[in-house]
Amino acid sequence: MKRRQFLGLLGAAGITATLGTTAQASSKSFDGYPEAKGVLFDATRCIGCRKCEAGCNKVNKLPAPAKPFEDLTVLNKVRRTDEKSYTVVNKYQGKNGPVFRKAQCNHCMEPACASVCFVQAFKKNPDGSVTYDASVCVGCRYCMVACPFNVPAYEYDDPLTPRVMKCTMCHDQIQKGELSAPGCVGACPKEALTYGKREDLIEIARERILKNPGRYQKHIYGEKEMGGTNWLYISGEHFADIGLREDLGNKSVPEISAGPLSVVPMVAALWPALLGGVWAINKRKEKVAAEEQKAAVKAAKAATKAEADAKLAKAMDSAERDKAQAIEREVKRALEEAEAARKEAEEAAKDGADKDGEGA
Amino acid sequence: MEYYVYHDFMMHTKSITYILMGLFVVGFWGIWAFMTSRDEEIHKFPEHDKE
Amino acid sequence: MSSENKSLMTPANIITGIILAIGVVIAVLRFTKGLGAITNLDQNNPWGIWIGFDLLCGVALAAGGYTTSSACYIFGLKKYHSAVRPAILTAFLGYALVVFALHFDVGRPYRLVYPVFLQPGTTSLLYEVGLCVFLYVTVLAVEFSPAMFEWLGMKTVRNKIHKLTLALTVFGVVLSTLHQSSLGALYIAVPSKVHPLWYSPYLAVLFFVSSIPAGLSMVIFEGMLAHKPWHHMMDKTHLDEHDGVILGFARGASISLAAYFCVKLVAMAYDNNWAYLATGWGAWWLVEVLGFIALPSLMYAMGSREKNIKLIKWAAVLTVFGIILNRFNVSIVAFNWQLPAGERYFPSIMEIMFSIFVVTVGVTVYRFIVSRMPIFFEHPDYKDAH
Repeated sequence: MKRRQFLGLLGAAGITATLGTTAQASSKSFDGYPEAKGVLFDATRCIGCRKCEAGCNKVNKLPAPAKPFEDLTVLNKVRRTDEKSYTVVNKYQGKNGPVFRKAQCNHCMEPACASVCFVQAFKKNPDGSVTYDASVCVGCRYCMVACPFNVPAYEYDDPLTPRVMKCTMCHDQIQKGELSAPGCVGACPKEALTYGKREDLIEIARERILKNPGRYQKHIYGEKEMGGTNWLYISGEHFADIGLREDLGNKSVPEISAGPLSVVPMVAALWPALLGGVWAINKRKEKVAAEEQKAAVKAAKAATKAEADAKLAKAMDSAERDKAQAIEREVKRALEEAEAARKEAEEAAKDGADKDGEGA
Repeated sequence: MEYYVYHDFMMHTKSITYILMGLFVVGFWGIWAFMTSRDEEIHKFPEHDKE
Repeated sequence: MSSENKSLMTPANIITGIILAIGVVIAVLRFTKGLGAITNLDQNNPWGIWIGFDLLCGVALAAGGYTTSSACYIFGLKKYHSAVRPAILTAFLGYALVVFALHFDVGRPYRLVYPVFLQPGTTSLLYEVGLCVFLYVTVLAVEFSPAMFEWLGMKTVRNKIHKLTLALTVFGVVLSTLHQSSLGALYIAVPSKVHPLWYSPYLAVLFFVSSIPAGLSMVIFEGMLAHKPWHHMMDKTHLDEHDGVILGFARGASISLAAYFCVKLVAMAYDNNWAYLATGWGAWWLVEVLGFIALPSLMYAMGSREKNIKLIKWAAVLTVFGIILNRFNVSIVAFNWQLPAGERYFPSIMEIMFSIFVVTVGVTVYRFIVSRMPIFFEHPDYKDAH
């Protein structure tokens, strides 16, 4: 019985799993907002001066760091963004000396953080930025788990109102007209950062690669990775050597989770019918079994009664016969006794007569 | 309505889907209650019916 | 009066008291100093044992509720009837504790209702988990309430709720399927951080299928733990059915563990990850799969065949441990496996103590309820009390 239960569940799970993995957004294509902006980072131009970090800190009014931005010894250790730094520059060992890469939110075209946030605290804006709404955030930190670039940081030291902290591409300031480009872009002295429409940036990047054979890797990082990002990178070194993972694939998190997500409503649609059916079949089985049992009991009762009656009749007969036999025997005995008594009397009479005869 | 971002499209479709799921649950219960409304009472533990 | 006080100061109660006190201290620290002060969570490791154990294991091990109630009420296996109330109670307490523990892990617990009532992030599997857990803890509370109403003598309410049993059971199975699988699906979104031997697009199926032997084994395991201390509360039906429950559930556990094993292999084959078996990670995977899935499946099969209760009980222990091991592997051990050792996560003492505190709260409430309410026995006033 348990087997049936389990097989039933597995069968249904199997069906839904298959249905799940074949579900896709049919024939639509999603190419991002046409006017979306982005930033192109050119690793061959960056000198690791950290002025972008300072610029970001200023325009976002972030707290002052432990060590000032002019302190370049900080680069000796690879850092990640944290709750006080939306961006960090890291130093890596290149073929011909140190190379640097700026790390910050990549403003993905299909952001993982937005996809996994259960309260819609992240939004992909038409201007290309991915922004965070602290007014609804519950602090579950799933966005941090899901971000393949390990970007969002959390205010773990705030006991009651902690926020997720990450680069905003200066969305608010640009919307308000306070800035025409993100704070880091404006601060860079080497034009390692270029702000513009994503499609234009890709063109620019392609051109740079073409016009400078041997200078760059023949790849624009972020063009397709994780479904494409609005922050793009070109580099002389292999991207893995400057801390950019090359094993992420091109599928975005929304695409990856579309499969499992599509199974959810199937369970809600199918399980009640399946379970109700199992229950009904069981009820019917029980009813039939109960009826059969009733009939069997009845038949058994009748059979037993018949058997008992037959036995009784037989016993009665036998008793009658016994009685008759006993009577016969008694009669026979009585007759024999009478006969014997008669014979005795005869003998006695004969003896008496003989005696009398002899004495005359 | 045009969707430029797959995530936005999914947000739309999944929201409708969750509402549908709520309706499924209520609907199934409704159809079940209706269908069994004239059934004989179920005696799961007949030995208790003696009372 | 003094004799009452004496009876309260049992060793069990004293230990409980100490743990509860420590828990309260940590709770206060959490809301005055923040998560950073008491946990080892960091920017790379945002989820620790409060998610890996309290949430993931808590939900998996509370699966006895839906498995037992569906076996009895949907599949009509009446001989498991006496096991339903204890299973529902455990599940209810389990889920209630998950929600309780979550209030300490999330940054703003006062906003936990936002995803359900304010702005649902419907693309998120965590929304799915949250909604289902929210609904299911309600279903469990209602399923448990007849026991409480019987104890309180509130007949009419109790009878009204009792009529809902089938509907609640079906709804409970739907919700359980959804959230058990969605907890696994949470990690489907993170292929870059979970080791290939534990990552799979089938994670939802893996978590759901494994929740079945998890629940069945917990019922056996708890039946085993509760038997001596609560013997005096158990009525004849419960005691008579006890071995039947163990033998029957052993069969279900054996088969469902075997199925789980098969799903694990399918998941391996899907991404062609066999080469990883030759690594250290592979050895660990084999320990989990052979030692804690295949082995207990065989032990259950043998125990069920030979009617060897002792063997079955050990199989239950192995299975429960195996489920905990799997959830830990997916969420902590194999998560962020590529980070250098210095950046990996290990729980802090306070995180561990708090998890112990949460379990202790559950055990304490359980003890209170089973010693008073009709869980292990049928209330004499009710025809088909359970």
